[in-house]
Amino acid sequence: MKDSLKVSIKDLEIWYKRWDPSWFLIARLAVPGIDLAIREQRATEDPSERRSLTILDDLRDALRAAQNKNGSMFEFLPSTVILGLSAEIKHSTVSKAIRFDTNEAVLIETIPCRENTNNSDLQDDIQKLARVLSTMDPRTCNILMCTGVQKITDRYGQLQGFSVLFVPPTKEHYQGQSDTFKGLDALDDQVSKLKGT
Amino acid sequence: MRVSRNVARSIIFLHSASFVHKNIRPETIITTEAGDSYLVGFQWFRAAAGDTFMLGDAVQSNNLYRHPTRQGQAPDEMYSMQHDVYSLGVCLLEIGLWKSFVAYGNDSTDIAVNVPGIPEAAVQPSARDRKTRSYELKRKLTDLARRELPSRMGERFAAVVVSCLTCLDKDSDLGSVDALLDDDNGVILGVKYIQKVRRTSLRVARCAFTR
Repeated sequence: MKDSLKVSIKDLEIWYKRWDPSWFLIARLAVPGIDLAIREQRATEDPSERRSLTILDDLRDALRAAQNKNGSMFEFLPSTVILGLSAEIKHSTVSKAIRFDTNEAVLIETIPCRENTNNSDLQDDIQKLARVLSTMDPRTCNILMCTGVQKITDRYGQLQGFSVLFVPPTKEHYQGQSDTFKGLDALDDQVSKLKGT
Repeated sequence: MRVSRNVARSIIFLHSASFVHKNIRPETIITTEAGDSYLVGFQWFRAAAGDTFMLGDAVQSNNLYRHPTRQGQAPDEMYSMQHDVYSLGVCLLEIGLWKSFVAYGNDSTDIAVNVPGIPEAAVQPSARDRKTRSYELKRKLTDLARRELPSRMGERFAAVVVSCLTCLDKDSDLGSVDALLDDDNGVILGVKYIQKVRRTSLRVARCAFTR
């Protein structure tokens, strides 16, 4: 009876530890001691635990990037940077493209200006988002890394929206040629040809 | 399960960075053959503390993923992080049932909504009874999750989905997540939060952070 009670208490403690939300709150505290504790723990834990701690570490990076009011604004790409060879990814909001200044394959998302809203607010939000997404690791946050933003203007110079450029998932992530990423190889071939010329 | 974790994790990160996405649906989640998923579709995002637009659309396949208070061209409520969590719940339900709720035809305008056991009319309410029908749709989706997911995906997954779909209900587990994530240092609010809500309230976070 005593032994089974002990087992039950241990089970309860494990359960409580697993479901206790306080770890999530602690992870959000801007205290350097937490970073130190995470680093120390990462050095000793087994690989699966280490993975969770890496995610926590990246979450803290995201928080810092978002809260850094003194950080430099994310600069827009100049209009001289030409983006081309765009191809839609079926049933998604992103397209494949090439950035000609670096000859890199990218994924592009268009964010249009919104009716009856202040474009400067949208511009600020996009710069903040780009700053955060350019610092986060896509493998842990599952949001693609932002590599640039370009303003879209009409022929009169009026702002129409923004092109947000993302680094495509790395090769090893889509080996096997899924439909989603079929064609990125073709883009890579195009890049190789462009580099050769 | 991996896709579910990836999507939940991307939303936790975005919310932690103080943004709301406002457009979570299968078209804004790209998945690789290896099973990794990434959140895209930032057309409607904004800073969490920014002004809300109170704008929407009547597109059937978009409204399916929106909470009743955010459906239609003139939503009833200001957008909050919980609205993203509701959309996540609908996506997780789809993943759990392994059935697309949206069927695509040959061209981009040929889109039909097909939720198991829910008539199409319920998803496309007329303007007159939009509110009643949209809540009815939410109830049906929640019932579907409670009925079908435990045997397919396990009790824990089903509980996560139900928590997401009911996160804006008055007696919700997840009711104060918005305030929690908006808090700069999190200590005082965090203590209150732990005291106030049940331990299961951060199931979504656990889902996202478990490997």
